[in-house]
Amino acid sequence: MWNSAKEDVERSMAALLSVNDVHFSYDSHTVLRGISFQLEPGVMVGLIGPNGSGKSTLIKVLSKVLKPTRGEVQFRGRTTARIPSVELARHVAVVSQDMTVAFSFTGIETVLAGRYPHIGRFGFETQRDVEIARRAMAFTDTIHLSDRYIEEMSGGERQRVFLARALAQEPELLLLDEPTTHLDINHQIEIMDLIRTLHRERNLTVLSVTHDLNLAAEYCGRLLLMSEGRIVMEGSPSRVITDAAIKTVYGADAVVSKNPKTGAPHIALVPRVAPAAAQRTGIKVHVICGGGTASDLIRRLVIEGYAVTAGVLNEGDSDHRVATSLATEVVTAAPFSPVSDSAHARNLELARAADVVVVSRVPIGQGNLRNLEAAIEASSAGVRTVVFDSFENQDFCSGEATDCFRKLIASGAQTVTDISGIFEILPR
Amino acid sequence: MRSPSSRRMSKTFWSLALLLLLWAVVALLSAMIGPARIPFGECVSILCSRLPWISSGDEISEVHETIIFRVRLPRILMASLVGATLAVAGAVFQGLLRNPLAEPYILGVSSGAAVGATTAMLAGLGAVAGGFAFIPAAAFLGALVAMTATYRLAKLGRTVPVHTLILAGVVVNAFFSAVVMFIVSRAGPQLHGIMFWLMGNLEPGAGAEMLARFVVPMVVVGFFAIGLHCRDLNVLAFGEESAVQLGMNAEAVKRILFVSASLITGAVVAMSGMIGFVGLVVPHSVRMVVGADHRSLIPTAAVAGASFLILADTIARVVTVPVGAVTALVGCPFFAYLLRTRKRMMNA
Repeated sequence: MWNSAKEDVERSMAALLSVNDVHFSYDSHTVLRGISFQLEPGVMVGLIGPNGSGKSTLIKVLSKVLKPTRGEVQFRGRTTARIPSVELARHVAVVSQDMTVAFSFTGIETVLAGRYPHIGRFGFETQRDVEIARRAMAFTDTIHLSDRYIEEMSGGERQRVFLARALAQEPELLLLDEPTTHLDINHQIEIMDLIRTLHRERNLTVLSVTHDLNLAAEYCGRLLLMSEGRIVMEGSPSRVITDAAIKTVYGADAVVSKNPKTGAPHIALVPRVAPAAAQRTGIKVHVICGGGTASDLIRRLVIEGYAVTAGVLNEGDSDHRVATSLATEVVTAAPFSPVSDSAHARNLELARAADVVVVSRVPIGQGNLRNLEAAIEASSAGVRTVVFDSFENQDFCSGEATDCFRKLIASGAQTVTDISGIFEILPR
Repeated sequence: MRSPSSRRMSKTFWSLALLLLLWAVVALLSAMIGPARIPFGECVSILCSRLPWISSGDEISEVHETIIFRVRLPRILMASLVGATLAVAGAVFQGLLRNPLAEPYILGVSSGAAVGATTAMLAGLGAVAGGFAFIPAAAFLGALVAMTATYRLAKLGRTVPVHTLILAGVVVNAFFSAVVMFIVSRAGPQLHGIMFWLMGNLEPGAGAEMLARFVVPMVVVGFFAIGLHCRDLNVLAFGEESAVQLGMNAEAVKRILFVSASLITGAVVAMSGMIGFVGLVVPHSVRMVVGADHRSLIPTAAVAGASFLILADTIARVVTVPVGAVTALVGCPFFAYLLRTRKRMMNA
């Protein structure tokens, strides 16, 4: 018991910032309900959570703009309540989304304001202060904005100038309160890249509030997920950003995949299909597909209210991924395996039960040739079947598939040239 | 390459030098103009005659000498003091409230001070031995009460929106003006004098002792406190939260500046009544030249304010209207212009 308490103390001594059970209320409205976490020197942590979860308030408490109603914040083991603002500002800088200035200050004047905590009441800016300000501007690529007025700058330029102002404070800890909210996506990336470079090259500790989960996942090594004034989850982006977490905290349906270039979790939001719209036509469409040839088709069918089934698809196939999340039933085969007897049987059942069978431009090899056979059987049994007209390129089993396509058409299947052709044929 | 701060310093220096020259010219012009026209050469001679090491052999009319030293020069110096003070007070209020339209008169601070001063006058406190202290002190108190009222009224949550501040100023101004009218209507034989003072009077007259012993020291103390906080005003332009995050004890700094600006406003209102719009016109015009940095703005606004009020007062003397009417005639269109051009900001 004593030991663990001692360990806690040691850990909080090693931490740059240590937040211990912080509560905060505006009058009767409670915003923070017991926040505890630590930032070790040199980390880059993202603070995410829905609007109103208390992220911005937390940043204000950390920077002493607001006083916690309970609990304390320690910077290097000292409680910030006892650190004068002017001293804290030499170690902690904040970049917020508020970039309004009451009067026409120039770029350099703005950045020099970052030297405020370093200059005494009776002092003047020295050559050294100007030097530091210029270096900060060079770093954020804003030297050319020195003599421009803040209000004449674009959002991205302004944000870089304000970032330079924060750097002029020569901080160890940078707190960012949604620094990219009002920016275009190219500027968002630019600012976040800059911050990451700072973090890496200058070993700056960064705590960044953002509601852009993708940016947070991409740039931060660790995430804190806030909800209703509490930290509900903490850890690596892939641990924190999951379908389930987003559903619980944001109440939104999302598909978390991976950014193919960086491997960071990537969130795609799924529009809520109104229950009335789902399968509203009551028409069943069975799709024979694979290799991503029918993903768009399946999505559109579902949105337009058809009940979709699909098969046989190999696990891991991109059509399989789409179909499993949208279709009412998908016949699945193991990865890279040929269609088994049982799978074929189920596929046939679904095709026969459907009102329409659609064969996508799926490449046909020995493994999935049986899917075409299922289509021919359904078509011969009188199920309306649709196939694309130029099927020659789909044949990967030296003519066998082409024969099957011809049989299919002979059995009464209709041909179309594109997806919209399918929707012309489909009953409404 | 020259650093931006040295560039600013030299720009400020030259602006100040030019404005001081302008002040001298305006002051000299004002000394020449009046019911008795005093020619330029004689005017210069009279002014120089009191300086021991320069004495021109020019003919000096004794009447003219009396006019200059007893009537015009005191008035010029008084206009300089009041003009400089009101311009600085305006600049400080604008910076503090992040509002380009803030100004002692518009915020109701001047009428609050007037309530304090008239109350003290009618209570006969001016007549008590050494009682002259009460008038500027009461004016200061009145200014502080009015400022607090306007600020509290305008504050929405944690911010003070531009337009609500102006509305709050209108209400507070209307209220305190009514109180002044009420007090003045009870003035009896003093009525005329008080009305004359109220509309802006730059004649030191009987107030010379009060001016020297209380008003000037109050203004000096206020200027000193403001001078120490010019850099803070710059940082406050980024908003109070940012100011705290940049290391400012914003609460304390704001308090000091509000009190200082009210102090100097109260002091000059006690002396010369309600002269509006100087604090609006002057800081704005100066800001366009020297920029927004308060370390340049405050001193240049002071010198420019002095010239502005001398000029306004000279016009007032010539057409025999109260100086407050002249400044309002210039200031109101200026206010209207700012209101139009700053609409975007007003909506923000």
